[in-house]
Amino acid sequence: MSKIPIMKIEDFLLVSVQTELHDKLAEELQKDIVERLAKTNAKGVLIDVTALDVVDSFLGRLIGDTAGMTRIMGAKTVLVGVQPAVAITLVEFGIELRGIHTALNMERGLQWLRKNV
Amino acid sequence: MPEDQNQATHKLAIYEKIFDNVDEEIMLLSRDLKILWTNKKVLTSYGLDEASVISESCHKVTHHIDHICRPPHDICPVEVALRTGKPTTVHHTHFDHHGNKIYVEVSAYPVHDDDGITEFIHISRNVTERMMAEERLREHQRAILELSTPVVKLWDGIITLPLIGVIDSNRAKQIMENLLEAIVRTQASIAVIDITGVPMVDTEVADRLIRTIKAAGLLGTRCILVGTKPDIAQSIVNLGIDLTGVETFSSLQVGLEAAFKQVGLRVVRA
Amino acid sequence: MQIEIKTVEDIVASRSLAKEMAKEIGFGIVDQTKIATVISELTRNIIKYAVEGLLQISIIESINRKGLEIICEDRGPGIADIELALKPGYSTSRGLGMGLPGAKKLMDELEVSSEMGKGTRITARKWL
Repeated sequence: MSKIPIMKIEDFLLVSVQTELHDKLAEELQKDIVERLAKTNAKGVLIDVTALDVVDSFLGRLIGDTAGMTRIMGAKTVLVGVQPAVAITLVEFGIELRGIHTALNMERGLQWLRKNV
Repeated sequence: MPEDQNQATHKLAIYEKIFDNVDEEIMLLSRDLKILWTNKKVLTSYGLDEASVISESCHKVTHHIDHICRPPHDICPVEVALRTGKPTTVHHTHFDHHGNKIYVEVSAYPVHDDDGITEFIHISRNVTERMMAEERLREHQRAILELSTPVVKLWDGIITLPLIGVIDSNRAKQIMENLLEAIVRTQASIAVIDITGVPMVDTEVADRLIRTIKAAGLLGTRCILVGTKPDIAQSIVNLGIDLTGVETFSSLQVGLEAAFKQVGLRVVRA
Repeated sequence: MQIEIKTVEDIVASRSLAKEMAKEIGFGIVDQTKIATVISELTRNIIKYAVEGLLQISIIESINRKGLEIICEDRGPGIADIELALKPGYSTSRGLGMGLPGAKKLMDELEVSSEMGKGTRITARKWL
C-alpha cells in the first residue's frame, strides 16, 4: 500500500484517494494533511474520491474527521467526485458528512473554494 | 382373479401412457440420488437407453458431474427437500448442443413412508419461453418506470424533476437513480423537484424525498423543492429533518425564479 | 467462494469479488455498490476486532428468485450486546462503530450470532 499523495493547486491542497486506506495509513494521511496545511498556509482542502466505487463508514468517518481538523486549522474542505451509486449507498446507509462542502468535480470544487475563502 | 388383474393391467397402461407422453422429464431417485426409474422423455432428452441410466447418479446424467449440484451453478432441489421434508422447486440454467441457454424448472417431491423419506420424484420442465416472457415483462415495467420519472433540463446547470402520482419505494429508487444520472450527464448544480402532482406526502414519502435530496447533495447539487403543501410541511417536521440548504416553495414559478437567481440569471420581459 | 480475511488487500479483493458476483447474477450498479459496501464494513470489522476471519459469498436461490448470501465468521472476542450493536446510532468508538445498523439497511436480511470469547458469525442476504 503506497502513501496517498497530497498536491498543491493554487492556494489549496488536493488529496486524490485512489487506493484503500486502513488504520495506520489513514492516520498518516490525516497527519500529512494537517502538517501540509500548517506549512503551506493553504486555505482549502479538496478530497477527490472520483476513483472510489465503494465508500464505507470507515472512510466516511475519516473524511468527516479530516474536515474537522481542517476547520480547526482555519481552512475549508470540499469533497469532490462522489459516484452516484456511492452517493445513494451513503445516504441509505445513514452516513452523514457534516461540515463538508461537496462538488461534482474538481473544477467546481476549485470554483467554490476561490469564491468562499 | 382375472378382474383385478385386468384392472391392474388397465391402470398400468394408463400410467405408462401418461408418463411416456408428457413433456416433462420424470425420475424416481433413491435418497442418495441414484436413478431408480425414468420416463421416456429422460431417455430421449439425453440420448441414453434405460440400462445406462438406472443406478447412475442423477447429477452424472443431467449435469455430467460427479458431485451433487451446488452454487454458484445449479442448486440440487433434492438436497433441500431432504432437509425440509417439503416439495422444492429451483431453477437451473443448462446449455443445449448449440450453446443456447435453456432455463429448466426442477422440482423434487419427497416420498414419505414409515421409515421417513426413502425416495424422491424428480421432475424437470423446460421453462425457457416462460422465463423470456417474464424478462420481457420486467423490461417493459422498467421502461415504464423510467418514463414516469423524467428529468428535464431547464437551463444550463438547472434540471427539473416533475413528479406525478404515487411515490412507492420502487419508484423512489428509480427517481434517485434517474436524478443522479441526470446530474452527472448535464453537470447540473441545481435540481428543482416539483411535487405538485404527488397526491399524498406522508412521512414515508417525505423520507424518500429527503434521501434523494441528500444524495444529490453529495454530488454538489442543491435542490429546490416546489409544490409543497401543508401535509409535507407536517411530515418533515414530524420526521425531525433539518432542511437547511433546501429551499422550498409552494409555487413552481417562485421556485424557478429562485433557481435562476442562484445561477446568477434573471428573467426579464423582452 | 471463500476468502480468508487478514489484511487490507483482502478487504479490497473481497469487495471486487462480491461486486463481480452481484453483477453476474443481475444486480444493478447501485445494489452492487451496496453489497460491496457491506462486505467492506464486515471484513473491516473482522480485521479490527478479531485479527482474522473467513468470508463466504454464495449465490442463493429461493422459488423464482436469486440472491447473494454473505457469511462472515471469526474467532474473535464476540459481541457483548447484539441488540445494542444493531440499534441505529450505537457505537463502540467514535462514529458508527461496527456499521451493523447501516449494513442492515443496505441488505434484505441480516443475522448476527455471537458468543463472548468464542467468535461471531454474521449472515446477510440480498435478493434480486
